[in-house]
Amino acid sequence: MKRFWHALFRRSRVNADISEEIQSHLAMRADLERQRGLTSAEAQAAAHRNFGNATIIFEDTRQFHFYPFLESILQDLSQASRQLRRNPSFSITVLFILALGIGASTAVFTVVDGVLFRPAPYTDPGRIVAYGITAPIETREFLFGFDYLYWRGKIPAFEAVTSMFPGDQDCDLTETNPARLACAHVESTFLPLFGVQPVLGRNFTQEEDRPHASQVALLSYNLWLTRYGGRSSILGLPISLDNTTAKIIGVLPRDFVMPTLRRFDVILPQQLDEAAQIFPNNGATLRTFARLRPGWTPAQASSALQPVLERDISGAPIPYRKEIHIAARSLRDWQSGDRRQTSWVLLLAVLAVLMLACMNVASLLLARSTSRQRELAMRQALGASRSRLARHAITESLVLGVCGGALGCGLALLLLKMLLTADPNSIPGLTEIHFSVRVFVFAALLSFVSGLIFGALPAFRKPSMEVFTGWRTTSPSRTTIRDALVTFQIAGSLIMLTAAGLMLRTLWQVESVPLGLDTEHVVTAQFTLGRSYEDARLRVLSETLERRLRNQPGMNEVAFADTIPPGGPSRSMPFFAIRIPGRPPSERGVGGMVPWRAVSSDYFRTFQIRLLKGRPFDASDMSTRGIPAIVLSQSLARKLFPAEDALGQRVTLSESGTYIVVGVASDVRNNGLSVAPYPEFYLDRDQFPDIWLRGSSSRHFAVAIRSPLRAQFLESWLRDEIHALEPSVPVDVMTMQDRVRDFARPQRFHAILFSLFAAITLLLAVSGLYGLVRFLVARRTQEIGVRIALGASPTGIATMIVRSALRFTLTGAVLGIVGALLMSRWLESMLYQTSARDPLTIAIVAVLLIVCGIVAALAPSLKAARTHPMTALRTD
Amino acid sequence: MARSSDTLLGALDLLVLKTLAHGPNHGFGVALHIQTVSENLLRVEEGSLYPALHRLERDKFVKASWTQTENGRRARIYKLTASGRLRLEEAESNWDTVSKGVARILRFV
Repeated sequence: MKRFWHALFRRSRVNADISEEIQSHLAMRADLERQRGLTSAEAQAAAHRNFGNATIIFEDTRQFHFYPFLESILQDLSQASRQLRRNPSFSITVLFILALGIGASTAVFTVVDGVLFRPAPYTDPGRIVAYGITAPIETREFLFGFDYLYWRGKIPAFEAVTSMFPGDQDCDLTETNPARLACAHVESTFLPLFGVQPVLGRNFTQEEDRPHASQVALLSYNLWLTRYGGRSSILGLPISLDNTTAKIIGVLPRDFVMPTLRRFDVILPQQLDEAAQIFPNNGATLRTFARLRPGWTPAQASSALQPVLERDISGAPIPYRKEIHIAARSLRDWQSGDRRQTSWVLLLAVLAVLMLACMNVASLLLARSTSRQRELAMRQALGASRSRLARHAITESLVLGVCGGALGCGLALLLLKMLLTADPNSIPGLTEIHFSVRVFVFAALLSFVSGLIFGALPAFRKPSMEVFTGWRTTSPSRTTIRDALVTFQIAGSLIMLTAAGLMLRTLWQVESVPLGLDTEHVVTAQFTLGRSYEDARLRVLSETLERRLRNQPGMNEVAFADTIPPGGPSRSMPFFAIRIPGRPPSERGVGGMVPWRAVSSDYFRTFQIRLLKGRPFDASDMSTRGIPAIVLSQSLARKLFPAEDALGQRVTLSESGTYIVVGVASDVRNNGLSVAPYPEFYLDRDQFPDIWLRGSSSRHFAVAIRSPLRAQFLESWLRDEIHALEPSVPVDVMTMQDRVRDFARPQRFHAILFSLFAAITLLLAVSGLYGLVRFLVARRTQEIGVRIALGASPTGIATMIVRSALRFTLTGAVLGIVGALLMSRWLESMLYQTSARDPLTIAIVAVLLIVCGIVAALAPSLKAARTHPMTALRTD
Repeated sequence: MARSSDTLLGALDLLVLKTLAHGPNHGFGVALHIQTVSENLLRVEEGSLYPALHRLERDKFVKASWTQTENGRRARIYKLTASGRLRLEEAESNWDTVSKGVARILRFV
């Protein structure tokens, strides 16, 4: 290996050495001859005579310092780059196509890498599972604190278990330069289970994880760097979070991510009150993880968990039992869910685009090698071996591939940057670009492989000596390859167009689903206040803001709530905790979670959520102090009171008292459009300020205004009003329509991506077809000339050419339709209320493609029709 | 590696190694030595020494370095290495065998 580099870099030095050595030899001989009495010129001549052929000796000598193979590669490389520079328009076209293909593939790889390939930064991540029960409302495994504690250490499949509090927990850094941070609360066994060691300091102990223990905190690497400058002296320093002081005891590794993949800045002990967990209804909900014992698979662990579930719901009515499952899922599955299949489809689709790009380049190279036949034949006649010629062609394509790859990387980076700048959430699961070594390796691999793919075809063509005979001929097999390439490109483009069409239809379907509320003319604002705010201050703020907003003319409706649709409310209670007086309680753990919102009485009018029965909250509820009012969603009403009218019924919400049902509101689709609406209920925020102050989400504020005024004006006005009261709080102001658009984000992303792919492949197919038709026309110039001379009309000629082009298009289209039908199964999971074999989409796409094919063939056909018989016959 | 020692072709290597066994020398010196000692019987093309020298250098039988000669010319001096000495012994005994064999065949006829 050392000699390899030596050879590569010392090349010129070795050459200089040898020639100096030869010169020195000649000089010494000449010296000697002069001493023997020869003249200077005679001495020189004698020296040369004695020495022999210096050039051959030079070549023979230097071979011992190089690999001849390497030499010829270098030679090939320089020749290839000369060749490419000689024909810049060709090279630029090829590079552009390759950059497009490789760039798109690299960009998509960057997005899906995390989901598909990158291993989690934990020790032996294959043995880590997320386990627990799933219910219709919570499809990600969780356990109640009671169950978690009871089963801890009792499940044979698990070597260890751990838990953390679910959901986002923001916390405020209450020091100079306050900031909003994300805090995760985990058990003391959490880091050991994942096999993660702090890079600095230590994990917290079991004692520090007990309730009321002195607070300790672990920092994320990022927070440590940005706020503490990466100093190791921070250990033991206090950090003030939500006005409580904790001691910094460690820093997590740079590549550590939470298994939930959520952002975090600080990890705190969850300090679960184990004693309190024995009351099932008060217990905590936990995300639970386990490390499998060696030899167990997640599937085996899942079946080993069944007894847990049996015990848990043994008394529950049969229908409820069916909706609850218990399972252990590998961490990767749990993290990516159904994104995995989607990611595969995206990756394969973009690789197909690259493949089509390679085909396009291959046919361009074929066309060029046809025009270079004379040169190649000449070189072969002069003694170049076929393998040398083939190697030369491959080198040239590899140079193209690598240059294209480099451009593609740049393009991918640009593309991702643009996407993320335009909308940071536009790519699901990608918040920052990891343009890592992995991505570069992937891009380099793609470049090489594509270079080989498109280079192989022209490389192994045998230059034929026929070209010297003067009559330009092409053996039939040659166009067959190009015909096939063009046909495949057309087929591929039809498949891609179909996929794009289906994605667009899905997007349209998703966006036209009735939401259960009216989004027009509604502007919303959401903000969250820090945990450091006391209740009294929150209440004053809320009242002041309400007064200011309501006093403004032109605001038809102003509603206040803790949360607003879409998206689930942050507060929920287990279904079994909702009781109907006089009836036995439902079995614990059954029925899933029921989210709820604390809303003002104008909420329903502002969003125009229809009340199917009864009325919204009103002032008269205030007078009947005895029983507060509740509004149920239609599905919750049906679930609680399947037989009778819900109106006027009483329900008890665990410990917070009994409510009377004053209204039943129509369901609102909160949780993504392709999921059925879930049951929820509403409490009156104005009647009982304590309701919205209670619980962890008390600091969420949401304001919605319905007004005929312009949205931009409303947005800035709303922002100003809130900032007048709370200058430093970040406010999220959006029209309701924009907020709802988020629902269709994945569908929109897929539609954009596939439209892009389809556009690229269509462009490639059309340009491939155009090139082929032009080539065919050029080849048939003489024939066409003869035809015209014999009286063929220009229209007749044009029709003839277009018809021959149509043959490729139709064959390609038929192949494409077959391909699209075969691949439809893969797309199904990404579609919504659209058949993957939608005949209308396929028909439209096929017609579009055929029209494009005719247009592409038209220009060369018209040119052919204008051929003058004399010029045609004079061409060689 | 070419097993040139097995054949008569190894003769040039043998001559070069033997010459260098008397002391380090440059290419011209080696050529001159061979010509003089063989009384011009072996008059090889001087240039053809260089491929042999560089091959021996690559195989680490000789070491080369640039030095100044007494009459002020820069020359590349070759010096026998330890493995070069072994190689020389081997080549010499080989040559003995080969030349004896050839001589016998010639005498027999």
